[in-house]
Amino acid sequence: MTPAQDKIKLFTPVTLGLLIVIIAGALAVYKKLTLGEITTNLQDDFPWGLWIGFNVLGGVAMAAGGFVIASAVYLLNMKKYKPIARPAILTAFIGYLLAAFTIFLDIGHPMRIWHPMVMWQIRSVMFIVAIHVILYTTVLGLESSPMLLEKLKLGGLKKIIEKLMVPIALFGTLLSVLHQSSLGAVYLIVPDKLHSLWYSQTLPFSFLVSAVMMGLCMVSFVSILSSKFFNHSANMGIFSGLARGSIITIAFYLILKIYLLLTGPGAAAAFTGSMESMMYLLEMSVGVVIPLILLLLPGIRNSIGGIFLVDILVIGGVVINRMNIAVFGLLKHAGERGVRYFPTGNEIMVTLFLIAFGAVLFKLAVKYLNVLSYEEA
Amino acid sequence: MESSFLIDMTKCNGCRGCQVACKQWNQNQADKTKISPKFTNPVKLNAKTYTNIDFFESEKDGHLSRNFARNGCFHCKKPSCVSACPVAALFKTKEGPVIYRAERCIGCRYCMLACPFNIPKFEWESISPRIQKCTFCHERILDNKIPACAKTCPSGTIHFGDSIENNLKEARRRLSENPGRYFNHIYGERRCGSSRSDLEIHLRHPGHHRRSTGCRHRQLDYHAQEQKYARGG
Repeated sequence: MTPAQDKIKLFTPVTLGLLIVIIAGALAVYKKLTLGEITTNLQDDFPWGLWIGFNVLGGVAMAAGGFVIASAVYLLNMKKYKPIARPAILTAFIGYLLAAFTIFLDIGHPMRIWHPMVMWQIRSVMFIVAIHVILYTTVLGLESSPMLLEKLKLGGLKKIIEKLMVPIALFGTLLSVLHQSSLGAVYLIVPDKLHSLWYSQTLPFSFLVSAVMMGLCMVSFVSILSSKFFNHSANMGIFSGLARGSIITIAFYLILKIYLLLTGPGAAAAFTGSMESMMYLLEMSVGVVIPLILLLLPGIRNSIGGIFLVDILVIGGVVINRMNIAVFGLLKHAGERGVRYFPTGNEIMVTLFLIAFGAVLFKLAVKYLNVLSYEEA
Repeated sequence: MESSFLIDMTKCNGCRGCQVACKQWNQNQADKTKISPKFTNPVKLNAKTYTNIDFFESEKDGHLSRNFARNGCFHCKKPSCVSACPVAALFKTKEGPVIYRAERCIGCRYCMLACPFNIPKFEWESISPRIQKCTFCHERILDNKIPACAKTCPSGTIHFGDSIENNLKEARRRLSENPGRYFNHIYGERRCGSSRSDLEIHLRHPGHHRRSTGCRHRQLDYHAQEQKYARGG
């Protein structure tokens, strides 16, 4: 253990708060598993809610940083980013584990979660999504396994995996690009239900672009946060590099979204004052327009605090986007059929549980594994 | 598939015999209901109700006219629910009906999202939930029996026994010979652009077309769609 890791205290007030959330959330999970879907507010005309929108779509988008950094470091040989490869991949791994756990909870028959592996239905987007979750979680496990193997003193196995890292990263990038976009493709089948502000035939593509955008910001966010909490020195060059990448992706995404708005429902649809148009404007301003303006100011771009603010905005904006597609954009259709949806306390508790669990898992990994001090080791 | 439905809603008298027969054959429990303003009862389909008769009022020659429409699975030719299902729990049989194999289902509910008519329903209260929907009485069809709803229908609304081609011909004949009696569209021939049914076609009352489930955007643009179909789109 390095001196920096020694200094990480196990029980800080924040961690204790997270532990309380975890205990309360574990009860909510138990309640869902024993009582079934009745603990949620999902109904016949609104079958998917908070868990799919926030935990699965949002969580998987947050994990996009894993494949972006893995392909930068292992495929494009951008050595500069090697120090953040481990935290990025670990974040992605935790994100995928939590998304997979949410799917396990959300489906009506959790014990049949393995069915898609043997009962193939290759015309189903959901089948593709299921297979990608399984394969990519495995890849992320392999990509982050050296951290654990060196702790367990299995040097031989670690060497083998590190030799195979390039093909693993290549496979991971392939899977991840497909998985991010296939999550968008899930909603291609609901042209009549999803609000026209979000529905378009390019949903898979806009999911991919926004995931890359969020991935870059998530990596930067996690690194800055860990440097603050875990006394780890941050390298400004890395963050401004990530910020440059963010500018390009955000600008591209903005152009894409404006094009989709103009060719789809028309610009007026965003300003009707309806709930949907407000959510759309919120998503676009928080996640796209304001961050882009901020990043174009040199004062913000060259300061850690400024980049951190932008990261939070983009992460929030993309999460709002996913929630809009999975929940808010479908509420109008459900409303026409007399259905309203607001998650139950149990649903909200499970979501909080997973966030807290992910944070504590990351902290434990930082304390006991060689996550942040990779370069020095 | 030899036999299909021709459902002529202008013949319906609203007895709900089909609902009862459906419940009896499928051994579905009754719903707790109360009188709703529209008299549709149960108001919506659910896991215990595969079909219901939608009651609505319209004006005809200055008088109140009570009319009906039937909700239930269309057994589409290319069903969204089947293409959505990741484990092929829902599948299209060679006889035509779209049926459900509970032992495969993981309960992801993507079929419910995918169906433009919101037909698949979920047993929310159950700890081992299933998707429920009309099966066109597939087991009765295999046994050369008439589906329960058609067997019980006293008014001749649900006609069963002809091929879909003959039923389409008959539907076109009724539409052309009785102008004004029907809404000028054969439901199930083409709907939502592609999802035509190969088991059910409905003829509906003129007042009904905007009330039917599904295809929200396209209904608003109904006449443009109609012209597109006429051009062979």
